Amino acid sequence: MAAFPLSPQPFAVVPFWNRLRTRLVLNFVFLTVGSIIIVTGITLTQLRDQSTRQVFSQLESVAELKQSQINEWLRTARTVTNLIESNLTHQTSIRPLLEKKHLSDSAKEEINTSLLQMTTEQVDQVGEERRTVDDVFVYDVDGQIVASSDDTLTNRVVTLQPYFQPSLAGDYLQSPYYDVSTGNLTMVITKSIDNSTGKLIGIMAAHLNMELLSEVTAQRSGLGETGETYFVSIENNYLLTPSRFAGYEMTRAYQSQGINEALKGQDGEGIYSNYQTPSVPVLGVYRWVPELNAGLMAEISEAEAQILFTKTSTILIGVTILIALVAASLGLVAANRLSQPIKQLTDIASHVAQGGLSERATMSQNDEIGVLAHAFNLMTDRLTYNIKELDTRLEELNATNEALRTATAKAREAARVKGEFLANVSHELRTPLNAIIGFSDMLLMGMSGELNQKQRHKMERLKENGVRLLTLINNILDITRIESRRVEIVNKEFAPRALAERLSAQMSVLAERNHLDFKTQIDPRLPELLTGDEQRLEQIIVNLLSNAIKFTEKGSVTLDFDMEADLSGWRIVVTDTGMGIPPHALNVIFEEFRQVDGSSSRAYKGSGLGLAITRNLVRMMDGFIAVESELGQGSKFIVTFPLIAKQTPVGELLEKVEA
Amino acid sequence: MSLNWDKITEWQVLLVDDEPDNIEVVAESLEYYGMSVRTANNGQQGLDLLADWLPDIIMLDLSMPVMDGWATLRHLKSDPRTQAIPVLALSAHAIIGDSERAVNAGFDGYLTKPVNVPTLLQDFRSALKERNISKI
Repeated sequence: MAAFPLSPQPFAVVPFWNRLRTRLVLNFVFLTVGSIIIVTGITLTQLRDQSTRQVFSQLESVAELKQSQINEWLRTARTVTNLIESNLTHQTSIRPLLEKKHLSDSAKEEINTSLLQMTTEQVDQVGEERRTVDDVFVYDVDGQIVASSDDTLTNRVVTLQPYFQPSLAGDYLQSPYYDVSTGNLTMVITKSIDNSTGKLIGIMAAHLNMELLSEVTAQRSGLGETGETYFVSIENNYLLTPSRFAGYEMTRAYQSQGINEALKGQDGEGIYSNYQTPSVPVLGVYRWVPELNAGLMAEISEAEAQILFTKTSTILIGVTILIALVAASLGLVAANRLSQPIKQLTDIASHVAQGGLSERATMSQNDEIGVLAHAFNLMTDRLTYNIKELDTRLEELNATNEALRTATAKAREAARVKGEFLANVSHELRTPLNAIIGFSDMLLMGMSGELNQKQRHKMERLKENGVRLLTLINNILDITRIESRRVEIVNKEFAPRALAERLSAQMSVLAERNHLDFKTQIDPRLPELLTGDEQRLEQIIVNLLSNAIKFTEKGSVTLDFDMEADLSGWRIVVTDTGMGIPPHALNVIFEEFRQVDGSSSRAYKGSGLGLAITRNLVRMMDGFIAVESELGQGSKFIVTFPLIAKQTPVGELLEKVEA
Repeated sequence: MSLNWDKITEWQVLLVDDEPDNIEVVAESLEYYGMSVRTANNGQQGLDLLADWLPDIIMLDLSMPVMDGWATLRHLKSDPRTQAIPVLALSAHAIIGDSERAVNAGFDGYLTKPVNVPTLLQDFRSALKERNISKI
């Protein structure tokens, strides 16, 4: 029996990445951490956008506030200037002074004093005494200062100052600039002074208090640690207000995206590099302030602006990692709990597959794996039982086979012994019969003296019975040999015509003795040479002809050799005009010890073995025998043999026939 | 070897058979036709007889004790003295295949027992003739 094919390692080691545990952990981690990452990502993005927007809008309002403060400051400055000018032109003799009329020193002094007084008595919006204007001075159309709140300014010439030419055309606001004579950053408001005919005779100008500008930007409420607002002038990109950075210089050209955009006259917002330390990005809102000819920037470092976002995201990422770790551990534990019993079950299955049927799964879980283990155990039980059952059956089968073999051998031996016995008995029976027949012959021939009629008759009966008995014994011997396959068929070429002629000569004597016509016909299509066992064919034909002659009282017996209609075989046909065979007997006449009935057995002596022998011989030669008969009309025995190769092809035969 | 069929009465025949009755029937029949016959009960005895005598024809029963027909034939055909003498097989029954076996073994003819006394000479002749024909 072939062994069940098992490789030395029937269960391959599952690669790490395919392992149930790995996959479970990965799935678990992916599902938990993945979703958290997605949620966190969306949250952080939203948070970042929102906080950026918030910072921008905060910066926007700061910038708005600063601008409105600047505007307020400038309006105040204008109001103050107008007030001083009004007082100046109404209460003092400034016009005569400007019209070059000689005034006494005391008159001039009075003007200066009045100016100083008006300058110092300024009151700001909330009522506090606070200078919006540093000093006030009056110059004539030639640019010479004729009066001033500050004595040091008197008699100076302002023709080179940037506001001089514009001031001749009308009231003017000079945006911040560095005064070459003092080196100070300053702003100037001018006011025209006309004479009574409306002709410009002089200009009153006021230096604005620039500290107020710095104060505006210095108020950093709502700007956190790094927030600042500052102005950069379009003149040389100089700072107009102090920077938050230490080591800044007012008169240095500063650049940044915000500064450049603002100085181009554009308002906007953005995230860009800081003007002082470009590596630090800032969120900035910038706008163009035409009154100051400068850009206003409100900025805060990105790091500070996003501090909430950064903190939140740090916390969220930390939480995510924590959750991932927890999920991985939980997944690992779960996977172990799942895969461990499976691995155990696999090991047991492996054992069972290799024949260890006594192994059983010992898991006692309540889950599906427990059920699987239980089912596996049941299966193994069943398998064990079935294998035992099969073994038992196999043993039984082997025993039966052995018994059958013994029985067959016995039967064969019995058959052989029977055959031998029959052969021996036949031989022993024949020997005395031969003697009886021989002696009968000698007596009949008169070797021991002539016999009288009665003696001769008796002797003939004696011989005839002896011959009959001998034939019977011979037939028994023949059938025994045929049945035990001790007869060989030797196929050789032979000439069917010669065979037919010889048998016809032999049998016609017998037919004539019974007063029968004997005819032989040979189909012209029959090949000259056929292949077969001539001796057996002869025996077959003699048997059939003997029977035909024996069972025909009058008429004829015919021997035909012919071809089958389709030329695939040739036939021996023996026809007689005898008593025929009743239909019920047609099937049994070829069986051993059968004749049509008892009466015929008596009337026509024979053993009933002739046809059985004939049929056996025909079958051994791959042919078949058939009989057609009509009671009282005669019988026809047809033996058909296939044409064996090497015989002349039928095509040639037909040509021969046609020729 | 040539047998003179015209002088059949002068033939000398060796008949070997273990059956006394058979010997009696065959020998007496042959003698009846004028031949002289010497008999032996088995092949060995037959060979012994040939020590100082050569017959015209030898008839051997196939199944005999001591030395059967087949063995005797081999001796006869291997001895140059007896090689040329025609040998006829005698068999109890033309068992299917026996006659052919006999001819193949080297017998010159084959007679079936019981010999038919009335036609013995014809049978004798045709057995040998058939053999001769098949030899051609």
